[in-house]
Amino acid sequence: MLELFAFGFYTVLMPVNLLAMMAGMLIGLLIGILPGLGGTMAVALIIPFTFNMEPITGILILISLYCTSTYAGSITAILFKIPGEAPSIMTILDGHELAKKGQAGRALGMAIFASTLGGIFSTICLAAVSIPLSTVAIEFGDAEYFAMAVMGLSVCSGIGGKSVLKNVIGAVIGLFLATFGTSPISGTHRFTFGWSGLLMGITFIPAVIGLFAISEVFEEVERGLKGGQREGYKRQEKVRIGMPTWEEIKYLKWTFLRSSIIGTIIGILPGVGATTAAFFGYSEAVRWSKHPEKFGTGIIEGIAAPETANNAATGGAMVPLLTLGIPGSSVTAVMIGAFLIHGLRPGPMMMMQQEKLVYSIFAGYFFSNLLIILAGILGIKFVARLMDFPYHKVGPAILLFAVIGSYAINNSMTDVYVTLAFGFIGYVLKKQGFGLAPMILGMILGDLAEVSLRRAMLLSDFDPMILITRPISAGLIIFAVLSLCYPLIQKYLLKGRGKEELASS
Amino acid sequence: MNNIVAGSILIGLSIFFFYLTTQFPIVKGYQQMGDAFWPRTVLFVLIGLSVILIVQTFLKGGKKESAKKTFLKEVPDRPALFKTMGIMIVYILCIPYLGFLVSTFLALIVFSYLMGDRKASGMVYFSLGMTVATYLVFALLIYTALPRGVWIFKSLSNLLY
Repeated sequence: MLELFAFGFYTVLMPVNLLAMMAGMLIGLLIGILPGLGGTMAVALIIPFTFNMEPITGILILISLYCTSTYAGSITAILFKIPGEAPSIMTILDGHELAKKGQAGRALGMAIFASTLGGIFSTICLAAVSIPLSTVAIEFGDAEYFAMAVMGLSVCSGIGGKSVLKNVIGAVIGLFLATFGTSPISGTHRFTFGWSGLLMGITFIPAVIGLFAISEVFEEVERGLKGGQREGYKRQEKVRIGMPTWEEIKYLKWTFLRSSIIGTIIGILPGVGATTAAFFGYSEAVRWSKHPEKFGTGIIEGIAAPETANNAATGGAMVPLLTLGIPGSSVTAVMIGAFLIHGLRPGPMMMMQQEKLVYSIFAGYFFSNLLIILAGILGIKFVARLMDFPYHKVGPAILLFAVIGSYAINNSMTDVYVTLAFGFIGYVLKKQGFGLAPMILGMILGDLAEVSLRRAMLLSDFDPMILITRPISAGLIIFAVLSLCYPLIQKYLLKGRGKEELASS
Repeated sequence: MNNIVAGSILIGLSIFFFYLTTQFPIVKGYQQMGDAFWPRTVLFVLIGLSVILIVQTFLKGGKKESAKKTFLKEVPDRPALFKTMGIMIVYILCIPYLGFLVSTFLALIVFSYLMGDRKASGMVYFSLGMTVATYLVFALLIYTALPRGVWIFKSLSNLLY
């Protein structure tokens, strides 16, 4: 095995392959920063260019592109509240708040570190335990997916605004918005009002861009701009690569570990990818935090958790692809094409017959995640300064990026209208104290919850016991219920302890 | 008061959408737990939570008054906000007619002005620069089919991409 690893590293370190990975990194950085352009589209566009290359060289370009673009989306998320890539959505919540405090360099540095760490963790899992891990994915049926969605929703009260009730309402609104469009089971049109633009439902990224970016510009304008600069805005610190300190790393060790494991496992599951991983990384960080109320105000855990998880999902997504031939995400689904044009068929046979290639892919993943640091260094010095531009330049630029970013996803004006509508909705909801993060949570998990619940019911002949008789599903649901009740139990216990202390004193 | 209005609007919208679910066709084989099941469940929960929000606000009573005053103090520039919102709507509605590049160039000038820029040359150079950069990256580099507009705007766009 060690020999194979050595061969893998030797292959990756060959000049031609290193150059290929650098090219992939630069394309990934550009794609990640530009809103509206996703890793899936970039991989699809680059595959034809790899046709004349050696198989491993072509695959390494794509891997490097995939890893870097997943990270780079955090740059615009932190600076402008516009996620360059869907997996960076959760990074907006604390990343942008930290940037507003004048610590954009620190936020971007943490995103680099966390992404690299998450990516390397999942690479190690990919190399060491990919076969046992892939069997976990097979155990996941519809009941387990539904339980997972319930577990995700159980943290909605703790993230977003100050009011628990309004946070829950926000999540339910999100769940409802996810029902628009063609029904996932029977194909019936729901709430489309005869408009073909809504047949595919409310497109997620344009909605997020509207909710966060456009509503933010509206708020800044409303607060008043003195001489074109924001009220109470702090200039950025001297911009340096604000990598986390040793104390921060020690403080966040459990966050890194938890998010790496969550990201890797979610990456392995077919149908849910880095976006869901980032969400679960964030929500579990909230759940286990000693100060959950600080999330969303600009704390470093709020960047570390989702960024570790989303890059861990990139390696996780390769596990079912390499071991079973089943893609774990949309990017890896497109990546199958790259394997096929080189005459390779991912799956158990490739794992056995093409060991050298497989271990080169593992090594490629490892180096691609290290290249994220270089990508960050290239991007960070330039982009962190953009925050200090007067708002009469930054504000219009954000509005332009919001429009072009939502348009470029499907070349559709419908998406731009969705962005505009959600800009207004986001502004109104924020003014009323409803959390936007729970709403996003509902939108991410709504489809997963409905499809998995209905399919599980159909398969079990409408016996709801299927949800609690399967061990993984039952475990997840019990965990969700306990975590929902935990604040109440804690309150009760503290009350009791308070009374005892009072009596003894 | 704000919560009562918000809760009432949510209840009203939930009832409206609930009514729409009764219009969904029933697909053969999916009568039980059909397409209306999930949206109805979610809407039921939303109505319930909105009622709780209203009741909770009623029970808390007068505390809201002071909050309202603080809220009003924090928002000194409502006219600029409404103008920005209005221009944003006009900009997006104009894109299919004026084309992406022309409408973006004009909108960026207006947005810059609304957000405090008073230097005419600065506004024009900024808008031009951003529009050209968008054109180069999206239209020429990655072949995004930017809206071309109609009439002479279409001819202009056809010349460029």
